[in-house]
Amino acid sequence: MLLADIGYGALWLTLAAALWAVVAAAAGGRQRRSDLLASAHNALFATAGLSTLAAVLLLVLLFDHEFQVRYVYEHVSTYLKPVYVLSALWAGLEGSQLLWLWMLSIFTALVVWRKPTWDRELRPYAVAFLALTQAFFAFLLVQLTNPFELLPTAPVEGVSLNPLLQNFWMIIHPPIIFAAYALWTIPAAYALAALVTGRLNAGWLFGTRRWTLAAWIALGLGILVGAWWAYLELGWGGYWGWDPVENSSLIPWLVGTAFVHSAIIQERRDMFRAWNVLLAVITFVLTIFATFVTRSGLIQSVHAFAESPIGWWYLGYMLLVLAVTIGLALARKNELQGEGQVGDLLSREFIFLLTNLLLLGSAAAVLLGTLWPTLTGAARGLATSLNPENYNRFMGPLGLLLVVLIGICPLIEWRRISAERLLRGLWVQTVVAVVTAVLLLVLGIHEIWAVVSFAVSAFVITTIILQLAKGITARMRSAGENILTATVTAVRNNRRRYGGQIIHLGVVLIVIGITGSQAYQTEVQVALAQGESVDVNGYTLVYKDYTFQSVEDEGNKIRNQAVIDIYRGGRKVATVRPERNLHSNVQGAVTEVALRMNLKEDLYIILASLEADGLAAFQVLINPMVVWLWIGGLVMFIGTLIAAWPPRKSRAEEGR
Amino acid sequence: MAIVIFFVLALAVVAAIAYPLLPGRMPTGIAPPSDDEIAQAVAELRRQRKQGGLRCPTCGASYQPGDRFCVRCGGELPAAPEEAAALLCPRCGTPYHEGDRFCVQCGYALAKEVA
Repeated sequence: MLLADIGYGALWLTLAAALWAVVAAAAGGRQRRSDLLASAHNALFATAGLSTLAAVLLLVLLFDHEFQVRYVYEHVSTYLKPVYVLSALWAGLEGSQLLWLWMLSIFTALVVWRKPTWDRELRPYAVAFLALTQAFFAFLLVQLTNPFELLPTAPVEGVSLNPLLQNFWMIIHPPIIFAAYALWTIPAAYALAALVTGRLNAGWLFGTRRWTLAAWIALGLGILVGAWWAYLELGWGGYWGWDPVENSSLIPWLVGTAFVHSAIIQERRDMFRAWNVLLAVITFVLTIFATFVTRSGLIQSVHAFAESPIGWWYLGYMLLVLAVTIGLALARKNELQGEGQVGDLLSREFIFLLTNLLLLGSAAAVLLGTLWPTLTGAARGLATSLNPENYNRFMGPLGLLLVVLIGICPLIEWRRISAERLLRGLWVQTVVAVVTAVLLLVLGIHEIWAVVSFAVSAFVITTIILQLAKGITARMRSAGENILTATVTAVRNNRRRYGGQIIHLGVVLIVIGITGSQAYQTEVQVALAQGESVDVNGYTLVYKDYTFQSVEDEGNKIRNQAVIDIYRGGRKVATVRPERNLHSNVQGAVTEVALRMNLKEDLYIILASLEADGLAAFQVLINPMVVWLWIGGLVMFIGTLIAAWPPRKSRAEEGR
Repeated sequence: MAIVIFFVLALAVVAAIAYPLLPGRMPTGIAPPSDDEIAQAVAELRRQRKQGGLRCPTCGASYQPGDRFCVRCGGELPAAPEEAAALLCPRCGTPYHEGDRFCVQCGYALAKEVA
C-alpha cells in the first residue's frame, strides 16, 4: 500500500522534526543563537507540511475505500455518502489524534510565520513546548495508534460509519473542538515561556490575547454544536445529559473562561500573575484530559468508543506538564509577585476574583462528578454514575450566581466603589427584575428557581442595555452624532468593553433557553393507529401514514418512517417524518427525530416504535425556548469578533 | 517506491532543518541584543539627554553648548542649530528664546521687538 506507507513515513518524519524543533528551539533560546532558532522554525514548517500530507493521504484512502487499511475498513463503506467520509477522518481514535496534530502544527506554523515582536524572548520556549506537544501526538500515532495500519488481506466491504455520526453537525463539531484544543496550547506555551524567562508581567497575556479568544470561542461554539447534534440525533429530547464526554469539553471551557477574566485583571491591575500562568496551563492540560476521556474508555459513555492502553500516555503527559509548571512556578516565586492587591470588597477586582472562584468551583465539581464512577469504582469495585439531577443541583445555583455577577460587575469600579454609589446604579435593573418576577408569578409560573432565573436574566439584560445606552447617548451629546453612527463609534472606540457586554448578553440568552426548556418541558407518550390523532399543547398531530423501506445506497439501512401532519388552530402547518431506522452495522434502532422550532418552543417528535400493522408509539415533547441557546451562541460569537477585531491603528504594528 | 518517496521527504526535511545551520548563513553566536540590554541602552540615552550632555561626533567626549572644538580629540564640533538663527537682545547681545518678554541679562523689554 503505497499511500499508507508514505502516510506512516510522514508521521515518523513529523515526530523526528518535532523532536529536533524542541531541542533546537530550547537550546537556541538559551544560547541566544538565531541559527538554531531558524532551524527549529523550519522544522516546524516541515511538521505542518508533513502532518497535512498524512491527513490528506488518509482522506484519499478513505475516499478510495482502500479497506486493507484498518482505519478505512472500520469507518467507511462503499455505500457511505461521500460527505460523511469527511467525518470518518476524525470518527476514530487514530483519526482524532491525527486531526489534533494537524491543527496544532498549522497553528504552530502560524505562530512561527510572524516576525517576532513582543515575543522575541519568549518565543523560543513557547515554540519548544508547541513542538513537544506535536511530538507527543506524533509519537502516539506512530507507536500506538497508527491510522495507516494494514490488515493482512483487503476486505471487500467496510464496517461503515456509526449512523449516529452521520449528521451534518458531526462533520463540523469535531474539527471545531479539536481546533479549540490545539489553540489552547498556544497561551499555555507562552505561559510556560514566561515562567522559563521570568518575564511574568502582562506582556504574554497581551500578546496571546487573540489566540486565547479564538480558543475560547471555538471551544464554546464546539460545545454548543455538540449539544445541537445530541438534540437532533440522540433522540431523547434533550441537548445536554452531563455525559462524561460532554463534561470533558465543558471543564476546560470553564477554566478557560476563568483565565480570560483573570487575564484582564493582570493587564489592568498587575494581580494574579501565578494564577494566570496556572490557569493557562491547566486549561491546556484539561484539553488533553478531554481527548483522553473521550478516547481512553476510562469512563464509559455513549461516545467513549475506544478502550486502549493509550490512556497512560495521556496521563503521563498531563502530569509531566503540570509538574514542570509547578516546579518552574516555585522557582519563580519572586517574579510571580504582582504589584496590585485586592483592596476592597466593593471593587471590580474582587468581583473578578469571585467570578474566578465560582468558575473554578464549578469546573472542579463537574470534574469530580465525571470521575466519580471511576473513583468509586476503584474504591469499592462498583461504579455508580451521577444522574443529571446531581449536576443540576449544584450547577444551577452556581450558574445563577455567576450571571448575577455579570449584571453587577460593569457598575463597580476598579479599586473601590461606595455602597451608596453602587446602589444608585443598581435600582433600575433591580426594579425591572422584581417586576419580571411578579409578572411571571401572576402569569402562573410557580417553579421558584425558574422565576429567579428569569428575574436575574432581566436584571442583567437591563444592565447591559443601560451600559450601552449610556455610551451611545454620551457620544450623541458630545459628538452630535445620530443614534446609528453613535452606536458604531461607541463600540468601535471600546471594542473590548462592548464586545464583552455582547458576549455576556449571549450568555444570558443561553441561560434563558436553559431555564425555559428545563422548567416547562411537556412530554406526552402516545400509541396511535394510522389515521388517529393526538393534541399536545395546542398542536394537533395526525398520524397519516407509515413506510418500511430498505435503503441500500444510503447507509445500508431499513428506514421505518411515520408521516405526521401538524395542525395548529385548525390550520395545517407542516408535515413531518420521524424515523426509526435499522442499520446493518449497529445493533438497535437509530431514531431521526422530527423537529419544528420557533422562538417560543420546539415541537420534538420521536418515533418510539413502529409495528408491522402500522401501530406506532410516539414520544412528543414541547421544549420551550430551546432556540435561544443557539441564538445566544451566535451572539457570543459576534461579541467575540468585536472584542478580538484588531483596532485600525495597530493593524500596521501587528500584535503590539 | 514508498522507500524512495520516504527518502526524498526525509531529505527535504533535513535540508530545511540544516540550511540555517550552514556556516555563514546566519550570524551564529552573535545574538541580537536582549530586551534587557536594549532597556539598559535606552536608560543610558535617557540619562544623557536629561543631563543635556552633548557628545563629540568623532570621539564621544562631552562638550558644552558654544564649544567649537573638542577638548579630547580636537575635532570640529557642530554648531548648535539654534545659534545660527539665534535671536539676540538688541541692547546687550544676549541670545533669547522666542516668546521671552524680557532679556535675562539686562532686562530689556523684548516684547516690543516681537510685536
